[in-house]
Amino acid sequence: MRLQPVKSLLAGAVLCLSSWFVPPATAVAEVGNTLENKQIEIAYIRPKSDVLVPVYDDLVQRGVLEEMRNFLAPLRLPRPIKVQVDECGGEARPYKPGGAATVCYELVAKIAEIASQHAATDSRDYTNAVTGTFINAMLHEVALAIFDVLQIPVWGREDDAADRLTAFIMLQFGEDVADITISGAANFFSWSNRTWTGRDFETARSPEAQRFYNFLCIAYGGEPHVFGDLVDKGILPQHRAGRCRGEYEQIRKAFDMRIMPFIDPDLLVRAKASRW
Amino acid sequence: MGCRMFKSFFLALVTMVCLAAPVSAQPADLSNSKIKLAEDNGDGGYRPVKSKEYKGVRERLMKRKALEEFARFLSPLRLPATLWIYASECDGGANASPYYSPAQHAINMCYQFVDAMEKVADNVVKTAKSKPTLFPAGVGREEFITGSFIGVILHEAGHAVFDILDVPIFGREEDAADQMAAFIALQFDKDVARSLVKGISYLWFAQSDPPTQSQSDVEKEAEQDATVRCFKDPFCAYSDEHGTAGQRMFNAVCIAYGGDPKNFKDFAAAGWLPRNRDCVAEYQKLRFAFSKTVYPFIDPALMIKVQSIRWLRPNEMRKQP
Repeated sequence: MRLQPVKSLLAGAVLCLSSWFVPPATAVAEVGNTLENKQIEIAYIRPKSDVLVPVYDDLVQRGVLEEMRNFLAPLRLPRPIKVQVDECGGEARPYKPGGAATVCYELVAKIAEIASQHAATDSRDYTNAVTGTFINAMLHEVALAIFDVLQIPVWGREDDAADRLTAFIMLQFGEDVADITISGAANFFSWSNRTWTGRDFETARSPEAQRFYNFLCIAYGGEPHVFGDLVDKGILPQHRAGRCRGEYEQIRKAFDMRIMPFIDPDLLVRAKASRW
Repeated sequence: MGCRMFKSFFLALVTMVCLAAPVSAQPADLSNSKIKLAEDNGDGGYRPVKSKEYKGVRERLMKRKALEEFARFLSPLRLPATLWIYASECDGGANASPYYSPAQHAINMCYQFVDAMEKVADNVVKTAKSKPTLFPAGVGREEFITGSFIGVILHEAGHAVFDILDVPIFGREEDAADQMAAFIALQFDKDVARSLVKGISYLWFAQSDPPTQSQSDVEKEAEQDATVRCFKDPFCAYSDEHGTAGQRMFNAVCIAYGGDPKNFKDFAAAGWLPRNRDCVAEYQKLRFAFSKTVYPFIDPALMIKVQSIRWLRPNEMRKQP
């Protein structure tokens, strides 16, 4: 994936971050310290590039990593996971075993840039795309870390597995969270508009269009009454929609078998009861 | 290309995987009460054809005892439910491919797929000969037909194993079944592994990736079938649960090279290996997944027996003049 010129992205990034879907003060106040998970270590790495400093400042101000740490509170891990935002020199820094789950400032900037090209920056579509895509990106990296730390056997391509797990998790916190995150991320994928040919397919990551349908399929399979419009409107084709319940059940069963034993049930209930 | 084809070959592929030390002996005690041929009216599991054009394929499969051998190949699997195997002229016309039916716990090897591979083979062999730099390993017609067919059956066997053993699948099942096929292919001796990987990767090389140019509105409107219309659309085409042909090709080669770099170094030199991927690490993760989720269901004594058999005999699949 080609990195967009950072300067041109900056304005959009700031706009994107300023419209974060839940005011952080509210979320942190409601969640409070009771959901903090000390096994989730967070770090905002200050960027060397001046152009990315506003992105860094905004993420710090929003407390996105603190909120992610609270969100992951029910996880009981054999060793800590480090979740960070950093300047990567590209849009992604692949997860390495034992390493940190990293979301790159460059990706945050690109998300805002692409969203601003397709939706008014004060629109719900824009806000959902920015928010949903950022949360997706962060949970995607955390999922890879969970696979590693819990030594989970993963069948299928690992990045797709991380996407499927992310979509599954996003469905467990109510319709509003599901709508914002799933629809937002899916919109972003559809807006990316990248044509894949030839050697593009050699990468371990999947084309945006594939990720779009994978996300929507898990969503429709898990919450058909919420996402039924996707099928009615032909956005999710019938030939795939018919398999989505099975795809959702498959990831649910995998989650139950391999991850649920590491979830604190009481904290999970409290996490679900919180407003994110 | 359907994953369903791969399902029925998966069992055969498993058998092939066990071929570490090929020997000509044919042990008689590879029966498994949970792996059965789905016979109907004494057809031995080989359903009568509806179209004359597949009569020869049926006869060749019967002569080769393909179903019986596939069942023997899978015999080390200790399944909690019976897996049924049969071959038929499947619904779906000439493009029908083998499939696994979760409802029936059955793998159906469609005659059409063998026929299709026989037809594709000439082009693949011709391309390989005309581009020796791209295809340094070369490929024979029978080698391609057998390798691609077994690759597909092993894919379908993967689906069967995932379903019957209730294997947790975090990624996409179609990719997982591809991984199973490639992994099993590598458990054979080096020559067999190369033939299987050639069959799998060259098959996907010969297929097309999703379109990159939008069809005109006129063409779209002319297509009445929504699914057909979708697969001609450069975005909607990605809605399929399978990976693209290019993805499947690179994934297979990555696993092969990751599992045995020396045996597939010519693939890497010719550019078949995906760049910027740690294929050795990917193979190790795949082996870990297999060891954690499938290996506990394998009978080690039967596995050794299966490994002592030489399973791949491409010449016997040859169309008779």
